[in-house]
Amino acid sequence: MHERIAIIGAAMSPLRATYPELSYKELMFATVSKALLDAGIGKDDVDSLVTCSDDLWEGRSIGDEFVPDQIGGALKPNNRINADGVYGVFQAFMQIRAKVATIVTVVAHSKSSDLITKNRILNYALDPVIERPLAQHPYFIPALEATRYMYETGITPADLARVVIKNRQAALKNPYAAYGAKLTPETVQNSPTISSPLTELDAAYYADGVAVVILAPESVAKNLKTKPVYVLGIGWDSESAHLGARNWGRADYAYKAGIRVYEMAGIKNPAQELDFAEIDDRFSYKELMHAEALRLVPEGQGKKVLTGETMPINPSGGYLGLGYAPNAAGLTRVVEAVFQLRGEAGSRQVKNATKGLVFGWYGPPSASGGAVILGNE
Amino acid sequence: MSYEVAVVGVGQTKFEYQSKKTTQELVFEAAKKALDDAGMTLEEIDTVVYGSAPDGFDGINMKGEHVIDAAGALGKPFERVFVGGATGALAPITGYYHVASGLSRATLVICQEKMSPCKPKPQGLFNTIFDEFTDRPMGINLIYIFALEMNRYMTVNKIKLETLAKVSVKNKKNAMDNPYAQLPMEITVEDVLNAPVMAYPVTKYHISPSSDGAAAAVFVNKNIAKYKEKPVWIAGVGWCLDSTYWTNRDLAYPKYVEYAARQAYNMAGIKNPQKEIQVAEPYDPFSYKELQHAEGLLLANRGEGWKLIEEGIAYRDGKLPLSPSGGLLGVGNPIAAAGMMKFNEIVLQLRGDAGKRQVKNNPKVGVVQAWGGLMQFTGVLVLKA
Repeated sequence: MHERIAIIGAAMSPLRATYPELSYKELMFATVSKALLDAGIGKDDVDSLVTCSDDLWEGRSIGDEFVPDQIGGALKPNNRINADGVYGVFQAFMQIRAKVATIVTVVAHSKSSDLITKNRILNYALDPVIERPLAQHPYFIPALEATRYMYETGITPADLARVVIKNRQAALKNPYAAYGAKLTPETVQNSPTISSPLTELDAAYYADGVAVVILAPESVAKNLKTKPVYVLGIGWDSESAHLGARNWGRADYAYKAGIRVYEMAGIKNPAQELDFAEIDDRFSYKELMHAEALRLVPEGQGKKVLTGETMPINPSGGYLGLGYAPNAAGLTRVVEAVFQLRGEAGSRQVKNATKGLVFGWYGPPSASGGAVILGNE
Repeated sequence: MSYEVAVVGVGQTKFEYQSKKTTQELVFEAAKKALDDAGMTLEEIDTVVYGSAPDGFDGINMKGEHVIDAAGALGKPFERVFVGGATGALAPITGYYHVASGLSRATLVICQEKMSPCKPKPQGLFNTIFDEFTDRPMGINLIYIFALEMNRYMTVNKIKLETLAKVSVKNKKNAMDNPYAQLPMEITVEDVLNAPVMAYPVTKYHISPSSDGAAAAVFVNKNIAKYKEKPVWIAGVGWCLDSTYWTNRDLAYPKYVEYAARQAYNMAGIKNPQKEIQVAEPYDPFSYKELQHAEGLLLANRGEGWKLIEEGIAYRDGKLPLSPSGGLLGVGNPIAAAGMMKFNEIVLQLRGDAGKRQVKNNPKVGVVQAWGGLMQFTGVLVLKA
């Protein structure tokens, strides 16, 4: 039997459209300090650090060179994964289980406001010969996916608008969220089309932010003052990113990641056994698609997310409400889940929450994502 | 508990400049060779780890997503590790903890780089690894800063250029026996010293070339390894990243290499590396780096790395052969794949399968190291037969 692994400290900077007064280094330093304080440990107690970032989003090659000092990682083991921040939790989990480290800090950051060419960066993720010349706007891939998904399930643009309204409304209760708002269906559907059927408000706005979690085995966690939140399962999956080889109507990567994470956490019926879910909603349709793939609603019935028949899904406000911080995104949701499971989520608190799911997607054009199940018992 | 991890298959492509193969073809070829060597199929692989350095070389963002098919990772947990030149060690280290944690029974680790699409020269891209305010405007690239470091290393330790030239001569000669090598050649110390200067004291033969290529290995747990011939065990891993501020650092001695090495040796139960390590592949993108890294790996006393080459210890028939593969100087330097090539070489040496490159001391314990970033990052693995 493996020793359980816990999140002993968590912190994030409030997501904001821009942090003009702080550099990414200052923002990382402040957030890591807060997480260490939260855990009640010092930086020298940390054995190993993991970051998640991508060079083109960083604006410099080998971006991990530029992080050790401000995260307390200089002259320590650091690893960097090119993926959504939730993958950082997987590294920490595996390192602790493999006994190459005891206390591991996971950091993901984004200063996306520094970038003036975000769409070109997204287009650079397409195949340079076959796909890139097609791209007027990089959201044509999610738009095609949304079209197929809506065709297969009968979801309408009005339903997508309801996802946006729900999440941005929820974000009003979240002090970490950048984009809380009260919207009407007309505002969403009449906002400018980016790539049909997606309107400007169907896509999450970018944000700056840093998220940090610190993991340790239960034996260490028990001696700390902070209430531990246990990592009950991890699972991730990759499908082909190529346009000709993907499944347009279904998030296969989320489905397979779900199979793995539920098996590890011993969950048979996720819709019944989980108390809340923080799942990727980079685009409005993705929340419904991911909820189906992760079996939070029956297949083909993504709409149930909107009718209040499910557990709370994205009580934080999701990316639509929080803001999307590339690479840090999934980790901001892990931190949210930790707040929920500690009962520290304020007016957005889910009552009696004992188990929650987090799912992060790497973003377009990828078909890769990962899931974590956290619990407080 | 953690699980024991063995390497049961290795494979690599030829290292060359302007390879006619695509990134995907290189990945596929190395992965296929490693699986064939292990006598395994993709169905038996649980997870895939891919290592590749700057996205700028290919001009592709999220480069890892483009090789998922070629890497055999469709429908599997897949991740890309990227920590500059040390990726060639951090990818196998990540593969190690995939299996050691029990999350995976068998993991395929593939490292690949295609530098040549970057025009006019891949070295130009390295300007973008520097601080955009303080360093980049100087038009600085890697050769400049390593010339500084080489100078410092030579000055502090009173090493002659001739000594460092001997490292290049040795490694390029070792590469003559490596069918995958890009720059195998028999040259003399004079050739190295008289070659065109790139940034003093670095001449053309003190530096490894830009390359395209891939290398891969299969990692399995004990339950699978017991059915395989000649498994090689991963006995220790360690890695370390130093401060970003390289200008404030001791350039003569790589403390971060020592930290990583001590972590790996502790785990492997190695008390006296100079006695216990029998073959090593220290990272040698520049001639002086092999000796400087050997010191960091505690294979020589501090400041005495030169003895390894001057006293004949580092040659294939020496007491502690260094870079028997031909190293980066001889085989080539496709960034991430270079470290993985070195890893594979130690596996082959410990299996006794290195053919003409086989060292003479019948090694049972070897160490491999890769290095990168702003002279700040190292990964170390200790392997045992």
